Amino acid sequence: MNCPRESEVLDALTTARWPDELHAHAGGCALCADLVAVAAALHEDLQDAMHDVVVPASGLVWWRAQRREREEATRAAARTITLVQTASVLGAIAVALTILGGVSVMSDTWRDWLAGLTSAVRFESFAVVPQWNVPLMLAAAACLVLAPVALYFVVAEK
Amino acid sequence: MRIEGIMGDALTEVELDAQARDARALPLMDEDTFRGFYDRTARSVWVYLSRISGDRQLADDLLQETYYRFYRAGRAYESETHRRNALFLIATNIARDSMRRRRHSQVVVALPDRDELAGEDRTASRAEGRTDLARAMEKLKPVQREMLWLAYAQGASHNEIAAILGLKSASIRLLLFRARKKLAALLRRRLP
Repeated sequence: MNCPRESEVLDALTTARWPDELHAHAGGCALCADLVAVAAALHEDLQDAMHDVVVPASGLVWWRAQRREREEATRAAARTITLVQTASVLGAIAVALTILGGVSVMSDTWRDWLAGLTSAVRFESFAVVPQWNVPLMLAAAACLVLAPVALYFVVAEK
Repeated sequence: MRIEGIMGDALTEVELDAQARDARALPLMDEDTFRGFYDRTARSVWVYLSRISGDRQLADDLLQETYYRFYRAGRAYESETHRRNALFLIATNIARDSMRRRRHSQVVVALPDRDELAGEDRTASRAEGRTDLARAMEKLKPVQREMLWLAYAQGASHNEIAAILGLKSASIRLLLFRARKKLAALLRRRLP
């Protein structure tokens, strides 16, 4: 698969110094002939291209890298802010719903207690207590409707 | 040993390793180190990208991306050789990603442009040879192009090639042999 003189042939190619004996060997060895054909072509191509190619100045590449790094840092920070905002909104909604739920339960308890008290004391005026739940329910419904809208605006900023 | 091809022709391995040691003391690559490394390697990386992607315009973009990712990696390297190999690994991956995205579009071979061919010190036969090479390279698989270029243009060892291309070191010999045989058949080049 590989000729034992491959490294000698590669050195000869690189240095452009071909001892007669090695040249004769490379001419008769199929493996070395392939090696010479490929390595010489690629080596020449590299040398020519290295001579001709013009790459951007290192200062420009450095400056672009710095600018891009800053832009990516800004984007990453914006993403974090958006996530925090979203989490805050969702948290606020969750807290609001919890409070509303607690109030609702409390109002039920109070209503039962007051209803018991009413029946005991026979005060008809406490019959209005269950009506306290109506504005609370409206507030909860408003939150449920507004929460997705708020979430949309937060996410849309991105 | 003097490092040729990838490293250019200015510094020895010992000198380069000394520079790398200086750079290792810093947590991230500073401007001077980055620019020095870029100046030493950018042209060979561009040529590599150009030859494996088959697109000179694309090579310009990929070059910038390669150095940016290399900079962002912010790693310390044992030696200049390790750093150089890491750079070529990044370049290879970026070129592969790019070629994968363009899979359905036709690959354009990086034929030498008119300016390159018109160089005063270039013979017509040499320019013709480069065109033949570009056309022959087009017929190879991307990994064969990468392997051959690294081995015979950049002078990378089998272990280095394996590391850069993400292949097993033991398989390089056979793969390289097959690729070389195929390219040689395409070139039908005479002995110098």
